[in-house]
Amino acid sequence: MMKSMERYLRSTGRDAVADAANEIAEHLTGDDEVYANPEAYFDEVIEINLDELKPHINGPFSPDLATLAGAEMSAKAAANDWPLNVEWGLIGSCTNSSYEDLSRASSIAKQAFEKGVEAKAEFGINPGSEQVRFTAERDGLMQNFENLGAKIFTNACGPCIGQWGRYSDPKNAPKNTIVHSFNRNFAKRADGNPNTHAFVTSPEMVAAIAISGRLDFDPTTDTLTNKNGEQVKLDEPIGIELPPKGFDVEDAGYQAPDVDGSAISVAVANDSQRLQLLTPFTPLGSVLNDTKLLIKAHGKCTTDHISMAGPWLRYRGHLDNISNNCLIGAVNAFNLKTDTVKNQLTGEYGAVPATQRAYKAAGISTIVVGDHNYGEGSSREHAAMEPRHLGVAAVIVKSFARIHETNLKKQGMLGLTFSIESDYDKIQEDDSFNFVDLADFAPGKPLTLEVVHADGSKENISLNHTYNASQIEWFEAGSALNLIKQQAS
Amino acid sequence: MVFDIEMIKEVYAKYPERIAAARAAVGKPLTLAEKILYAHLWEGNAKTPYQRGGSYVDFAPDRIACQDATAQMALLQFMQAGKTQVAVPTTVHCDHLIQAKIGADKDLQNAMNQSSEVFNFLDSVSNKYGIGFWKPGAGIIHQVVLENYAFPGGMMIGTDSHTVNAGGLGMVAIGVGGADAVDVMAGMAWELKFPKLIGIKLTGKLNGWSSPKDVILKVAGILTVKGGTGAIVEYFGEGAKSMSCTGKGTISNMGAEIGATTSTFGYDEIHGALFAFNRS
Repeated sequence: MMKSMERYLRSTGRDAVADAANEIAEHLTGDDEVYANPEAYFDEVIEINLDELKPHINGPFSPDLATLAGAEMSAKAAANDWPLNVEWGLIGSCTNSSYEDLSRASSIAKQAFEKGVEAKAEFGINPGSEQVRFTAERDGLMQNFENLGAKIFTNACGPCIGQWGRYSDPKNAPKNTIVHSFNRNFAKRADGNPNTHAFVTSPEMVAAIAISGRLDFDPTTDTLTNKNGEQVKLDEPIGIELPPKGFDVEDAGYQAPDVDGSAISVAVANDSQRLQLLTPFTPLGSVLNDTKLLIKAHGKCTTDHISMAGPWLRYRGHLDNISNNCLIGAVNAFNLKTDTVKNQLTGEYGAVPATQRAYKAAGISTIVVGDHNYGEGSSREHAAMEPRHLGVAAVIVKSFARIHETNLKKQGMLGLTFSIESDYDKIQEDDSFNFVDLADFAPGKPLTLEVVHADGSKENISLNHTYNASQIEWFEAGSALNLIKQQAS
Repeated sequence: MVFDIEMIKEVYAKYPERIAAARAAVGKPLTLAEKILYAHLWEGNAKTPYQRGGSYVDFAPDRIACQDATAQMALLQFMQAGKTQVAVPTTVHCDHLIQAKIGADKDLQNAMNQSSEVFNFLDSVSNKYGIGFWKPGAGIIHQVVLENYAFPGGMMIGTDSHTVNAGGLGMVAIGVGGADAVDVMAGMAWELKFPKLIGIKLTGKLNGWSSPKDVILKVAGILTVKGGTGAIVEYFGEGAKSMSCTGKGTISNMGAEIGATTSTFGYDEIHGALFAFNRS
């Protein structure tokens, strides 16, 4: 018997990789002792019995809010006022867009069509690749979705990352529920509508729920009414792990690079709104005094809050333009509003990017303060480059998400954490901040921040950091890239 | 087509010696995550054990993948580094700049109309620096990587948090910022705090309406969006063995939602599954 990975490698035309892996297979899995006695080798061990695992529907607004399909969802939805009526079922994203995923969901769509059931919700499908789409089309899987009126979108991320033209005015769109097989369901993520309750579930459950139109549909017990008024039940999904006739594709969409690219010129227009060549960041130096607070973020502040996706994606290659979304999704802890912060120069409230540009124009450095797991979400370095570009010197939080913390370091900024979490509460809107021992920035040594309150009173708070010696060099050079250039020259 | 098979063979050729050195350094049986990490040390063979959750370690990833949104800034940065070619195999995938609205053909054409400037930039910069380019409509980066580039025991980084999807094919695949990718493209080491290790034992077998997605949705409920921070999640047990590769990809993919550095599965034996199996 072949391993599932080996089957997949061979089915996708990579016999040479499978053969090579088989030769060293013993090194490509954990040692027997580890799996026999995992508590002795892992820092934490969780055991899940798949025999007892039931379909889950996680959400809304956070992917860890787990609910079992059916009765548990009925109860929770009622208690939390989540709309039970489902408007869209979306299948796809990098998470669940394989041939097998489409086959499972397709088997549910096929049954509904054959049993005369019409889908109550709209369906959208994003296949994972042209190879998957071409093969699924050939094998009739796509037709099963189309029979229920599904829209087949491009082989691309689409709604999963906010690239969904669902509404002309998403901000004023109504409260509603969608289900999808994606990975993230933060507020506004898929369609820009803060009132959309998005739930994450398996492709086959997306299909079943979209067909039934009800968030609390339990396909193992509930029936559906077909066109003839009969009660019908959906059978269990049937998955096809790999296409029995093999994968096929006419044009996979790949372009190999030139062997010698030295003659190729990369053009970026000076007046481009989408692309902008970079200029190196100036080092922040060891003297950072009289800095102001740009924003103290309340609660969850993901990279979506810091650098919103959706329409802003078009400025990814233009640092100055995309900086106009800097922290506009973060909630100001002092008024619980988004994109409304106090400008200490004027005393007036304004948008975060405009306020920060005013500080920059006045030559004043600022800090951003945040809560737990600040920067959770995507790896986009724009969430670090934008505040850096606009003149934010330090981000001080209760805790960081790893990638974002590293990105701040890479851009030559200070990413720091409160040594005492509750010191977060000491930061007031009109404080000034002095980094009193930044000249002694060293691995393993906390920094001290002098907080000067509006009434003139002062207190010192301790800030931890995880910079090692080479990361401190990034800070000193102004960015990691600056250091690479210095070392190359 | 098999991409970069010579690179893969070189990685595998080093494995026995690297694992022997890791065993000697660590002094006890190794998890898969440790094997892959220790086999990809920038310094070569391991000399000392690293402290999980403590040591900063330099690694040498085998490949890099970038999506079209993050690739822009990554490649704009790489252009500033003064190199002629990327130092490790790299690909760019155009999947983020296409809005779903009407249907595949019209949406793709609209994206071409609106973002040709960006696609042309990525096309030319890829062509110039030896980067494989996947055009708009070719597919979603992590599915294309799983179908073409991922390999058991490999280490890759990608400028997207769901790079971790390649754990489904037994990689240590980690989402990074563009700046990290630029370092590796420029031939430098990639630094990571040596992760903690979470083991998830899967017993039994999926049945009925349950799916790999439910495994990770349950794990997310247990660990929350912070519970995997700084850790690699390694799945094992009978339940892992009986699961499809793309199902393992789904589970690995959403490891990003618990904050995990990445997730991975061993290239292990299977028990009783068929080539094109029927779950009913």
